[in-house]
Amino acid sequence: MRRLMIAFAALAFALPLQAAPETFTIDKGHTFINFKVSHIGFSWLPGRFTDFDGTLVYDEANPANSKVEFTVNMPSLNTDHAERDKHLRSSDFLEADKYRTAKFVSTAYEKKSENDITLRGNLTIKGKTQPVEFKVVEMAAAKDPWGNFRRGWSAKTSIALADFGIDDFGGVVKNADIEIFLEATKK
Amino acid sequence: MLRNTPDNWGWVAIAFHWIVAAAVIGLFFLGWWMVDLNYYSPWYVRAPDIHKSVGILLFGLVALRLVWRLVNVRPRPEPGPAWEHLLAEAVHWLIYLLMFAILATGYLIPTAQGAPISVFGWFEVPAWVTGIQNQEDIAGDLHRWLAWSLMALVAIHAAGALQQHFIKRNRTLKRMLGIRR
Repeated sequence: MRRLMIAFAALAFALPLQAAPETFTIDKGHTFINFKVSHIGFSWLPGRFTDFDGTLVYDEANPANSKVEFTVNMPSLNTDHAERDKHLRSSDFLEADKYRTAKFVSTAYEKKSENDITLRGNLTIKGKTQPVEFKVVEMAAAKDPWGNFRRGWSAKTSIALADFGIDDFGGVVKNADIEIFLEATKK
Repeated sequence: MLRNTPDNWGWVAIAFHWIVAAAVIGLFFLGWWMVDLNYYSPWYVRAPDIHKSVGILLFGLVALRLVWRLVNVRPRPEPGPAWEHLLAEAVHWLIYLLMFAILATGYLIPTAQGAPISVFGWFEVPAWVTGIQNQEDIAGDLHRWLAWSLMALVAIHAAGALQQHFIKRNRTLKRMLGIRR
């Protein structure tokens, strides 16, 4: 009990110390770029991109100053099925050898309240750029057990495949839901 | 006669030749056709299953055929210029080489992430080589180009056989059909 109280006290002190915009290093081991599409109406097909890179600036005092930029290596698509991955990377869908990277560049971070956070930006897939809006949840922000100040987020959006020139089976598989789990440590 | 003699192919070698020929050409056209199937085609799942199953069985058959070839006498080639014999020999060995390369690269596609290949549901061949970066894509590209190269060799091989038969009028093709004059 006493130990718990000390932990809480430590946390309470640690939290309000953040002020100016802070640059973070993305922890790739704890960052996941997941997507899910309908399997022609039967169930969901989840997958992920395992190779990506990004930069992140977060301003706790003025969240609107926060910025994020991500590039995703498209051939790193993985749905745990070799032949399907080969097909999804092929010219039938993503043309991953031609359009090797997808890119997201934020344009606005709007934190109306703890429960209403929107990240806006431009997403480029297959050479086509479209504005997208992520619903964001800010998760823990604290010193981690290994000596870094760490923040966690999750972000969710849904994109229309047709907007990016990706075959949508004649409208049967309209959207791809994208969900990102991100952890980053302060530089 | 089951075994080869200095003048004729035995029935085992003849059967190997034509079964492998039918399988190779069948797999080529099956593969060519199935990669463009519509997602809703009833063959979308079945055709690749058949392609993979026949491919694995063919691997075993070609290996046995090679062993049979090495432990048997080879019938003497029909008389002809040295360059013709050399070309025929080179094409033969290239065909063997390409068959193994195509079977190997084909095997590396569905097994790239560790999944086994089921052969008609009778048995499974496990994945031995996995996790090379984008293995399924690289193996797939090689598989396609090697298959087209093999078909070019098959065309040369068949043209040679027809030339021997219709122009030089010797027994080269008849021997492989088991016709003993």
